[in-house]
Amino acid sequence: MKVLVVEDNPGLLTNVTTFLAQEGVVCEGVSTFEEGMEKVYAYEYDLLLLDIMLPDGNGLDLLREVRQKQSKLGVLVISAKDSVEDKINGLDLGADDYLAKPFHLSELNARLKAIYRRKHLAGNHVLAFDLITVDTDTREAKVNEQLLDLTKKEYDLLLYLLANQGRVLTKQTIAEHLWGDYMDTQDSFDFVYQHIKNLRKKITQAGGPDYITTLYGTGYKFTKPS
Amino acid sequence: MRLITKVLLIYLVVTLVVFLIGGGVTFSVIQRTVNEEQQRHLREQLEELTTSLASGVPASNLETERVQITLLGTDSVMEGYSFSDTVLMHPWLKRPETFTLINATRRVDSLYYAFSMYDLMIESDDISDGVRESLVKTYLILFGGVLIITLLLSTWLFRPFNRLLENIRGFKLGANTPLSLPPTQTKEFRRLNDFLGRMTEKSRQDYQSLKEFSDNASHEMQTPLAVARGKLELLVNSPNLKDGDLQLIQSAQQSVNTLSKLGSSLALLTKIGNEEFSDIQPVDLSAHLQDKLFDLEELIELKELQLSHNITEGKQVTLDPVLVEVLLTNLLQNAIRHNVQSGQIEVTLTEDALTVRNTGEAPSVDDPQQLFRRFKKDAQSGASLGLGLAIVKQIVERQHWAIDYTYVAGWHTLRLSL
Repeated sequence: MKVLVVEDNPGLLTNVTTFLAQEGVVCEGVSTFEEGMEKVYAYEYDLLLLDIMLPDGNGLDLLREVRQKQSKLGVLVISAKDSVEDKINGLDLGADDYLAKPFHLSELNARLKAIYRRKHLAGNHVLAFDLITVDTDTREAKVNEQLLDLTKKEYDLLLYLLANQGRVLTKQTIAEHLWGDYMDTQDSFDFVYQHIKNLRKKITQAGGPDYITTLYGTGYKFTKPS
Repeated sequence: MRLITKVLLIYLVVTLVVFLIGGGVTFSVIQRTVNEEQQRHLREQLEELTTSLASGVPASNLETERVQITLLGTDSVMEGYSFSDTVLMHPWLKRPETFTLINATRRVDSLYYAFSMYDLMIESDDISDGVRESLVKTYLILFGGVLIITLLLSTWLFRPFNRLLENIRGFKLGANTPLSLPPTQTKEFRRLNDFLGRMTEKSRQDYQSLKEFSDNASHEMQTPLAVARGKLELLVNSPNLKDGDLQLIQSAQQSVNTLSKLGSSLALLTKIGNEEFSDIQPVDLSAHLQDKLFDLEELIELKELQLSHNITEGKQVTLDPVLVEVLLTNLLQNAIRHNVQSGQIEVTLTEDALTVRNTGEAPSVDDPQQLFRRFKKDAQSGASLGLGLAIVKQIVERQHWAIDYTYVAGWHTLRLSL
């Protein structure tokens, strides 16, 4: 997977590129509209991560240009303006998803992977990890070919954990992924705990190993047990 | 009361006072003139009688019902006359009437005579009746005239003013058109135009910069927060974390999260206040409410709350759909958040009200209105920002709806009159 990040804030750009590099993604970062344009014309990318507000132009203009040239390029628009207009404009112009700042890198990761699956692994909507297979089309998860009876939230949680396998996720990050702004922080931690517990139980009952490691009582990591 | 009506009333009251005083003056002037005239007439008659006596006409021939002449003799008597009023039976009217009486002493040749003569007097009653009648009629004519002229003038004179009012009503700070000022020759209205023109222009500029500021503030705030959040996530995956570090990182994440929510809530309040949600259209409130309850179902279940609802189908409101979303989310979230373990929520939507009731602890503030203020929150709800109800209030005010809150027997009730 090859990703181009166009983001003018150096701190954010470093975060994203560092994170994606950890994920084993080939990642290039530029900070201006101009540079973004050059890169897009000169090289082939699988995904484009695009900030709308750039010092020398509007990210949406870049998106418009890109869409005329490369239809297979997956585009995730990020914006600090959590305005419906930006979101709608972005999606109208052919962005594949929209993320408002401040976002979690693990959330970004999950979204990017989802876009990548849709755009580049067309037809292959089955995710596999060790004994687990997830069909993103039918929203079914299996362990050892045995179907798991998951609630919607548990399914979302599993997908999120799979996208961020090997990474530490705090309860806070997971709660925001699952409930967005709806949930109060204090409550959500208990609910995350419950969901993790249920998911873990369902996987082990189906004969799978315990993939979820609890860290210091407040974080989780999804890994293949050694 | 209209300004012109006020002026008219004041004018009429003042003229009434003037007419009353004027009536008194007219009355006394007329009475004085009439008296003088009557006395002069009697004096002239006296002169004629004296002349007739002097020319040899006998006194008895000159006497009539109203004239009495008495011979006093030759003794020297002081000559002179005096007037007095007297009441006598009127010969034809057969009723007592007031007469003016003149008593005079005159020397004709060497003889002295006493004259007593009277004449019917014009009574003050008659004068005042006359004065009153004429003044009342004049006043009525004046009243009518002033009324008609005022009505005609007010439409004409106040036309620029009324047009200005129309324009002000249609004026929107958010819109990009300045206030249009109707041309006028009237000095006062020109000053008003001037003033309003400058004021609205200033407000528009302030509004624009405020809008830019809130846009920028939200942008400028969210970007560093995004950076901080990212750094924390990278830190989480650092291999050298010690026991307890993760807790620290998580609580830092929580604060970043709170700050970010705070920024977007304040930006939302500003946006509503600035009337930036102008995609006004009929919205099916019933359907939105159903959807929202469905969205929050899981949350309600997780908190082990009982939800009962009674929603009238097809209730329409005219509002930006984004605001409907915000309004419902805040009201329902509020009911979930400030609830008790295994508590209840009741949602009722009728044609004229949306009522959300929930069980919960008594609020710690005495005045319920306080709950609608920014950052005014109950002591027990540490996690909430204290902006939810302020946002609801802002939307309610924008819509000219009314909201009231009561707490009775363990139930919080928020009633929104649509």
